[in-house]
Amino acid sequence: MKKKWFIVSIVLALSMLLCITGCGSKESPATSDKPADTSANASNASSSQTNADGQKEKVTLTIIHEHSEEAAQHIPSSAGFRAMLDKFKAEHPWVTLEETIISNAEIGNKYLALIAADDLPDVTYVRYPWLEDMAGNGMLADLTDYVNPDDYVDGLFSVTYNGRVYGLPNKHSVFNLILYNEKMWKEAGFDKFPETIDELIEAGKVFKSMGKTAIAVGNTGKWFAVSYFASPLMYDYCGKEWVESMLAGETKYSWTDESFVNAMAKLQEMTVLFNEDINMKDDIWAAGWYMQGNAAAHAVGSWGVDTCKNMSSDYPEVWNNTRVIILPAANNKTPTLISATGGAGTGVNSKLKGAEFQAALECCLQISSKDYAKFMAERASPTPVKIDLDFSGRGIQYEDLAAILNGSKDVGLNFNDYFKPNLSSVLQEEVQNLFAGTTTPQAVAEKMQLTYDNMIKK
Amino acid sequence: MKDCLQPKRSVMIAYLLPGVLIYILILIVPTIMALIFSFFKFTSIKSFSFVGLQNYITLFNDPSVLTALKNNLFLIVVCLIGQIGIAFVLACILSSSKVILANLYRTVIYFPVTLSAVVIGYVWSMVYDFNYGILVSFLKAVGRPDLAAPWLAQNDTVMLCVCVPLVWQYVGFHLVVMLSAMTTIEKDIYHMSEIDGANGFQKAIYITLPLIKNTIFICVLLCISANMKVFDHIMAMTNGGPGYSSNVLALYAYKVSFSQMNMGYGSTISVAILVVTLVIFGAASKITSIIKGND
Repeated sequence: MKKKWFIVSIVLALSMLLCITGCGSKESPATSDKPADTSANASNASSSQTNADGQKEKVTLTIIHEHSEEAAQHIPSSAGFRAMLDKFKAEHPWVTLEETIISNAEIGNKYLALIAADDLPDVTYVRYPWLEDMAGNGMLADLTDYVNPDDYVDGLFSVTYNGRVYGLPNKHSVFNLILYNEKMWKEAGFDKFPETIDELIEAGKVFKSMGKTAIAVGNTGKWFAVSYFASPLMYDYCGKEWVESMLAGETKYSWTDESFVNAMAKLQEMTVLFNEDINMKDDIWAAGWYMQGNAAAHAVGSWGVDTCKNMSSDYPEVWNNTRVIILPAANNKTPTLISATGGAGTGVNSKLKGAEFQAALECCLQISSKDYAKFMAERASPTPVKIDLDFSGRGIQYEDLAAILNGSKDVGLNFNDYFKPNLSSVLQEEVQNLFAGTTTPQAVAEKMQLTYDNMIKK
Repeated sequence: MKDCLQPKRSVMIAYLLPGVLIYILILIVPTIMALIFSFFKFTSIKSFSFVGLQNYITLFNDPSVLTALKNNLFLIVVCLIGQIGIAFVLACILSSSKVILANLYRTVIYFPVTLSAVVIGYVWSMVYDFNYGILVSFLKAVGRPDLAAPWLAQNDTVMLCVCVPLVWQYVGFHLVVMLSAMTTIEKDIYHMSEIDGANGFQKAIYITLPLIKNTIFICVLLCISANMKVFDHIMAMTNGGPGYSSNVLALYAYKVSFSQMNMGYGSTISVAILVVTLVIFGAASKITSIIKGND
């Protein structure tokens, strides 16, 4: 009897151990520290796709993304992503796509954890700041031979590492846009929207004296103010060469340069424009605050026009008086349109071979195809795939947006989408401190420099 | 007979094995791994480089760590006073035979413990809302709208605001623990003290408190550990902001590890949390033993 219980307990212990260890990865990580060469994959792909009976080989692919059915009902980029996945599934019945959907707010951190564990899905997100860790450690398949950079608005800069292409962008966002209530500005004595940041700040004081918010912004997510205001101010004060030099990790310039300190000082000066609880409100709240007529303007990215349009049935008067304009420039410069195609791209896990690689590649190509661009353009959204944007007939707001997208000569990179996560994280925190008045522009610059020094120290 | 009641050593080991294995795998191994990672610059499993004590040097020179640690200590102090203090007072009141519907009060007070921290965070964010919050509405109703402020967005008020939901949520937990301890106190002691003329305050201080001090010590340890690893309330309410004003060590470790992609330094902060918690535990134990010695 005792022996029986002893055996039972041993079996239970072993089965529990097996269960726990069974939770690990199905595949041991590769140990190569060089970018993966997939040319062999490509040459074998077509031959391995069909078996002796001429039927396609069954393939199962995993993908982790943020585009739920619910999101697709409201967000054009999610609708586009899902539509392309559906098209891919319809055209590839031999491929089983296992999708894991994670919210937009959490997916970045999820991927960082997967990169750390070298446990990427078969079709993986690729973002510019992650390339060094992903491509540099051989986690991504080299897609250079399968894509034409000329088809994309940024020439695939956002997915290129050491001259090789590791993904395909599927999101193109612009950030420093302002939706403003034309009628409200006229009533406050402004016949036209201010043309410089200084004029805007003066207007902010006027609105404040009237008990109104000049620009409604929600920055609880911390990245919004960096994208909407800090990024364009950096171009205005520091210039394109400075930004690109810092992005490249060079030491030609430093964060403590007077130009960057001045940019941060101007940003702090802009606090008067915003709702007092800017650091504790989210973007959707800010859109609502504007649409309810409590604010004269609302800082948005390109997606924000849709957000407010979705509220237009409740607040038709505000929507009908709404125009879209690019944030005015500071320091006597012309506005730089801050954009990112590196916000989300897809690539192929380097562990895939043969038919799996081919299927994953075709999935990425579909997600970033001309079909996708057409789908998005029809919904008045910018896309990373080159296409003529004509939003005429969709309302003055979308026509303004198309004019900005088609007419901006100076285009800059969005800080959050291109700089390393540690730098962008520090700037995000410090910008909140600037708004709260608990730090100085000089202190922000010094903190950025310290983080930068640690980052480039190998 | 003895053999029937007490199994063989090998059988006991076999029974314990599953639990011990789980404990080792989910607690001991990760702790050791975190300690090892803390000596590396580690962004991915394929990208390791040994940096010796560099992460610890960074830790001691990082002002954000100091801010987070101060916030953790502030939370511990406020919650020790708020949670355990209020719980003790409520327990004394509810254990009195004169209180009617004591069970109902206990259940209602315990109810917030069952709620998700994220729900609590969002609910209290709405309470503090600068435009529509119930507090602002109250101030407007009593004719003092000038006192309204974006409390969660101000550095000097944010930590106090964050403490309130923590106290509110966990008072019920400590209350239940203390009430169960109070049930072990003989009623005769209270009856005799009443005959001697002791009032409620004297009974609480001179009878209840000494007799449940071991339970209170457990509550203190639980309160300290809970506030050293507090994460989700802060994440939901302020995300550590504005800036780093309401950042705590666990949230900072998470952000460094997963938002800044610096697992090595994140592990170092985790080790620091463990060490600081053990030091505070040690100090609390020492203080308790001194108090017991004085008794």
